[in-house]
Amino acid sequence: MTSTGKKVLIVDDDPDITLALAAMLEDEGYDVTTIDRGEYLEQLPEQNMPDVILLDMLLSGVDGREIARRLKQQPATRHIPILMLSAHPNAAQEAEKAGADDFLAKPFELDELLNKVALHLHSSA
Amino acid sequence: MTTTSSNSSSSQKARKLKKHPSQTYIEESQNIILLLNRQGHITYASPALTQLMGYVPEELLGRALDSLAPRDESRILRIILKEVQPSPGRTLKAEVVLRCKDNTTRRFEGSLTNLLEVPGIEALLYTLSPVREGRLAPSTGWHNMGATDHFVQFYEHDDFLLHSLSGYVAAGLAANEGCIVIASAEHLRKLNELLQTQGWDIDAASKEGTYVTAEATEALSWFVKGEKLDEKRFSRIFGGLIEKTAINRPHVRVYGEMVALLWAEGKQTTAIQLEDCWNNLQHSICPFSLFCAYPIRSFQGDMHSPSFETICHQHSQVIPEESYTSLQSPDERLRAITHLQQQALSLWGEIAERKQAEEKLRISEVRYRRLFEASKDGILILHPHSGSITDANPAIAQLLGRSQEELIGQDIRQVLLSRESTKAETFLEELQQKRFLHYDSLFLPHPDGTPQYLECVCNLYKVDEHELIQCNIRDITERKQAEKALRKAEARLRFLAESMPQKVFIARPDGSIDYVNPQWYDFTGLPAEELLGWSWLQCLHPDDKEATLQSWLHALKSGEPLEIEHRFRRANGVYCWHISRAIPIRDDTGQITTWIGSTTDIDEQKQLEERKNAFISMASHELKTPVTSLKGFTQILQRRLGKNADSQTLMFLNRMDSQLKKLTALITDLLDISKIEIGKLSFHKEPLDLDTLVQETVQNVQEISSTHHIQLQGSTNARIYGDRDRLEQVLINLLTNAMKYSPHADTVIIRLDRQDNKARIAVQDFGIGIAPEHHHNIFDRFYRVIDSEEQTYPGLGIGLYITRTIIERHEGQLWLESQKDKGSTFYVTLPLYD
Repeated sequence: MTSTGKKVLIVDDDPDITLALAAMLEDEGYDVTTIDRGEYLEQLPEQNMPDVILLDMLLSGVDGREIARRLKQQPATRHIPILMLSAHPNAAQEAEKAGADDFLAKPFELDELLNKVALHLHSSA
Repeated sequence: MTTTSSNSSSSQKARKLKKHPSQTYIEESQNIILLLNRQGHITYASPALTQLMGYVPEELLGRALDSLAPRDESRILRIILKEVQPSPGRTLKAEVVLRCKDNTTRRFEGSLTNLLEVPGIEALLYTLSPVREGRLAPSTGWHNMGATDHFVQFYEHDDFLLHSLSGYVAAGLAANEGCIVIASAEHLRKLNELLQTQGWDIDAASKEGTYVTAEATEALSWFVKGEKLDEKRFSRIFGGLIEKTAINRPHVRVYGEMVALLWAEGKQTTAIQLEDCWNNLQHSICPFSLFCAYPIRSFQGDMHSPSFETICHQHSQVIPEESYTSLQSPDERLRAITHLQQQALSLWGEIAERKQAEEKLRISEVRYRRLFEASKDGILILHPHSGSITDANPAIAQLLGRSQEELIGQDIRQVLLSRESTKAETFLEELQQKRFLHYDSLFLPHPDGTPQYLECVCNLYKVDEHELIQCNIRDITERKQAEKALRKAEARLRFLAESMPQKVFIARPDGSIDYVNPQWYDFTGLPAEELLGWSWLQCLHPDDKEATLQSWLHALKSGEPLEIEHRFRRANGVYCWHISRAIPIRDDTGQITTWIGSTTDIDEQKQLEERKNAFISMASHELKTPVTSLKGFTQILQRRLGKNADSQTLMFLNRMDSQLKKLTALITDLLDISKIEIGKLSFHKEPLDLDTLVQETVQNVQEISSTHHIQLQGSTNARIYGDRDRLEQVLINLLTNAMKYSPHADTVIIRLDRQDNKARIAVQDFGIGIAPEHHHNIFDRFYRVIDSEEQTYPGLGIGLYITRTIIERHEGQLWLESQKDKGSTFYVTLPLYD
């Protein structure tokens, strides 16, 4: 798996989950950035766009679904694959409706996470 | 004097005789007048009979006179009869004792006269006057009916005249007397016929000169020119004829219609002259008896009264004076008796007719009687005026618990209306007025004490001029008691409906509401009319209307019970959740007659449930979050330590991971339960290859199992339409259960095949098994097999419940075959997708 240097943005308001996710992906050689509020996504630097976004659905502040919608509306971010995560029931359909490219239910298997991230990086490349 | 002064008698019906004034006298007489035939049988009785002896005249007709007397007195009557019967004109008087109807006896002075030879009467006349103290018996004797008698008869119908005439002539022929008949051609012809039918050889008698006839018009022409009568010619012709006929014969009888003919032609003077001529002839030549007949219609009105009287006066006296002292002339007396005889004859005719009618009646009576006897309804026949029972059928006897004989003669009011004094008082009066009465419910306990209700219909009607009352009576006790029970039950139900907290409704088979209990008014704040029919729909939440209507119409159409949850608007505008249930009520034929339903307020329950589900949903989310990070860290550690850590550390990490999986599964199950509860378990169905799905799932489950080998056998080769994740959940649940409950076995078999055009999956273990009594409940929520002897197995008791729900939502079936200690096989079938 050649993932070195690929930029992964993690948006989650639970610090432990963020920490675990980051560790998993960094162990695989990804360039990981974490933020805990969706609003920050609006100030993404144009020169440093992530290659994939892991987005929690139920965020404090602006909801993950709303963020996904906005990202998919903006030309600059439309192409970035969004992998939505949630522990909420029925979240898969909600994610699809909001425009997310994929969904991962919490709690998840490590392999499943890595597979999905790799899949989206590969297809968008 | 007047005779039949008003109507033309010819216009009257045959035999219906108009009452003659003198007849009226007889009918009003204080004496009983009887006419007897030659054998002494009564043919007529005057109305005084009723007053003096208690009989209705008709009762005595045809009875022998001596039967009226008590046994020891009847001999006297027989002696009198024997004395008088052979002697025309003979009268005998004697005091007699007669038996009245009420069996008392009464003493009369009787006077029997032989009028058998008098044409138009031909009867024995018996006059009975009650004996009073100190009364002197009349002493005047009867005139002997002599050889020169001159009879006159007034007749209304030819039949009557011919009957008299044939009797007159026949008696003459029988005594070898000469008979001369001067009559109209028609009368002659009829008379001859009549005599021949009586067995007389007319031709022989004519040849011998015993029977001489002449046509009246022709005979008149011999001595009458215009209105002028030649008495000499008359005397010569008829005197000669009579004298010639008298030779070698004891007597001569003459019948003449010439006077009547003249009278009818309007030649009254000539007619009276001819009468004189006849009288003169009687005195001048050999004795003969003369019979003249006059049609009464010729004497209508008062116009000819003097002439009529003249004729009457010319007749000889044959009727005893003292019998009818108030009738001045003997003619009146004669005519009075003649009329009686005419009436008597007509009466016989009527009786004959009646007998014929009675025969017919008897046949219909037999028929009626059978109905009467066989009728299930009780029938009573009553006397119209007294209300006493004259007939009763077996059914009524049974109904009233009394014999038919007991009932007859009883008063209906005591038999049937003993408990209904108001009805009893007005019974007859009302029936006479309306001719119909209907009592829909009479309370009359059976003599054995059991309560009994009767329905009674009474009709007053005429049969052959006789009124009678018929009462049809039916036992309606059962119906009445059923009604009573129904009313009681109804009252009970109404009380229940009105006192229970639930809203109750009753609907017609078409679904429209025709009753709502007061709870509906209280809740909706609307009056009944705004809830009945289909108006109640306005109280439903707009979102629930369509579903409610659909369910309701489906129930009405299919006859299946209704159960639906929906919101009704309270008077304050707030919608509250309710559950409505309704069941159909059917009649004996299975037809739905009505729907009964209840609507229960479940709003509080509903809210509580919603809060509970929201809580579970939130809790599962909150639980999953720490599990996610725990699992994440565990997996990072597994991976980082993978190559360098000792085997025990790795084993601990694996255990942590598998426990976390269990924890995740439990949380998922909990969440699913709450979703099922609120009906929000969602499915994402798509066409699937079932065999592949099973293979993948088996592989995944096998990976985490170190104790059992899962054997996959057969295939379904089926595509189905279903939710991949949910079906996977079912397979995982069945396989993990199989392993969990067969701790001492090492194999689980999963078999794929088809059955009845369905895909079938069987999961078989070789474990502890399930006793049959648990088979039914094992798929229920929170149900766990509790067995004190067995070791306990952890779990929430919701896995099979979720499994069943998922399979049902796929229109599939789930069942098990199992015996305790022999393992279990769970079967799932799913419909094919084509």
